[in-house]
Amino acid sequence: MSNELLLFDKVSKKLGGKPIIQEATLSVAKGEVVGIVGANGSGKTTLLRLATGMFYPDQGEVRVAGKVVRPGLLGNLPVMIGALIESPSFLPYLSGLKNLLLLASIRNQVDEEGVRETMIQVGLDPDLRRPVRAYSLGMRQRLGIAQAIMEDPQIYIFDEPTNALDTKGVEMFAEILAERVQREACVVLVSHDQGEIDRFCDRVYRVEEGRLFSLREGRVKSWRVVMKSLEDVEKAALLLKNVQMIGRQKGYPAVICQGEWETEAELHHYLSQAGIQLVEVQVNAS
Amino acid sequence: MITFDVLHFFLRTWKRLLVVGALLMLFSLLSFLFFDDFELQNPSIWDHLISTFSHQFISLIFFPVLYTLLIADLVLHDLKENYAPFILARASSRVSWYLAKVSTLFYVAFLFVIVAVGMWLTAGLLKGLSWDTFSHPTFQHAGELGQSPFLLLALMLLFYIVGLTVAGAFVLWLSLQLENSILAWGGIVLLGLLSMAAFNANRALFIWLPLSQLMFKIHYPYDQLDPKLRSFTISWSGIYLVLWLLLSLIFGWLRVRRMNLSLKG
Repeated sequence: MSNELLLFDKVSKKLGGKPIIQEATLSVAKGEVVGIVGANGSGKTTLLRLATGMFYPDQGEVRVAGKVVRPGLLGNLPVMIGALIESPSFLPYLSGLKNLLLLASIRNQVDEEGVRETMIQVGLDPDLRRPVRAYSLGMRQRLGIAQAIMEDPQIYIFDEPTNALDTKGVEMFAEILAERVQREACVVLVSHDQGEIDRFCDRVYRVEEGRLFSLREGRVKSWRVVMKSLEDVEKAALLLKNVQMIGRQKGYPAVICQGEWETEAELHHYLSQAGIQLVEVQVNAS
Repeated sequence: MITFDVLHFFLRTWKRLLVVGALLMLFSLLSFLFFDDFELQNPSIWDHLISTFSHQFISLIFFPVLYTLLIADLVLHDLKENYAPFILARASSRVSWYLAKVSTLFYVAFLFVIVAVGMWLTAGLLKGLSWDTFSHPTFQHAGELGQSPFLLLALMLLFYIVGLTVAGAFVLWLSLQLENSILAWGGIVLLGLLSMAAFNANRALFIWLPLSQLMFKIHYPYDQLDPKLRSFTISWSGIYLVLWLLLSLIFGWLRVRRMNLSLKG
């Protein structure tokens, strides 16, 4: 795949002699959000560490933006990655802004203005002088998200990103994710929250005993479809999943249904091919 | 990366720096107990500095142990506290991260020595020692060779800065190898004790031990009393330190290049 940003090709990894990841294959393309679920200790975080170069695979290959992540002479690390793996740890005596500025000084890719904007984006006040040790868990998580996104990388690795976030925080994260994906970044998201995974991810994998199993190959979206007649609704009910009549719109029967189509045109084409006459198709119907 | 790492170190360990600073201050006040060139009737501040800085306890145990106490967890802290992913996501390679750590070792050693000298000089001033004489035998022998006393002092401090950096690089590698900074620090304590035992019991072995190079005044020709130390010259110690540094760096590089950079399981 030409627009592939992250690839695990038959990757295996042992820790302490015990196989943690076994022949995992996964590719993530530009603009994609891939979710990984699994029980505690199943190897989810190890998979993320392999992507960031914290671990190197024993077998197989990890490619980030086309480059193989391998020890080489200098212990190569992938570039363009924004990562939040496990609970973020900052310098407790510094403010959030100073912590981020310190990290930003490593690559000098973002100036103070950019760091301030990122903090505002995650809902933190950059002028708050309170040290991080006095931050709540939710604030620390927001700061962790800010450090991952502030340099605008192309690849994002998030491990339980909405831990300790309130509803507003989750909405903020959803907005950031949507904005980054629109800019053709890719995201790998590990979470134990199935609802979160269903909401954010285009594809979902489960890690079980170190092996990756595909749970879903596309994002299930909700669609609202207005059809010409009840006869068309009957045809659609045989063809689509979870079809529910929601009433009439301008006299035409309207239903909601769920499916993995990418665009409205795609669903329109699919239904038209089946001889169903349509008035309107809309994504994300409420 | 280097500026980041140095800043990060000072911001992270400021409490420990204060404790070490307080211990240095205490020992600078007690430093007169370590003045062992009793034949000198009226030692100057410079005589006091070279005598106590080259005392076996100060040079083989106190300074190395105190310095490595500061830096023993320099790498492992990042790994254990989950700070490494933040840094490594921004670093070009693991080795650049490791070399930034080694640079931090040098800056900390430099600061350590400068602070220690400052405190020793202040203690000497408080004691009312003079500034204008260089009576210590080390200065006398250097004078016979046409060497300036200040050049000699600068050389001693340089040996300290380099020697402590090298000891730090060794501890850095040991901590990566053992994945335990306390054990790595214990390694330096053990080396110090071994060097001290060898100094008192077996001088032929002494010159081969790490940390011995910090005992500046017993280098030949500045000390001509012990024939077993004729080969213990400044050149010998310089080469020894460079080789020890290279070995520590090579072993550290080999380790950091491949190891799993997370100790959180």
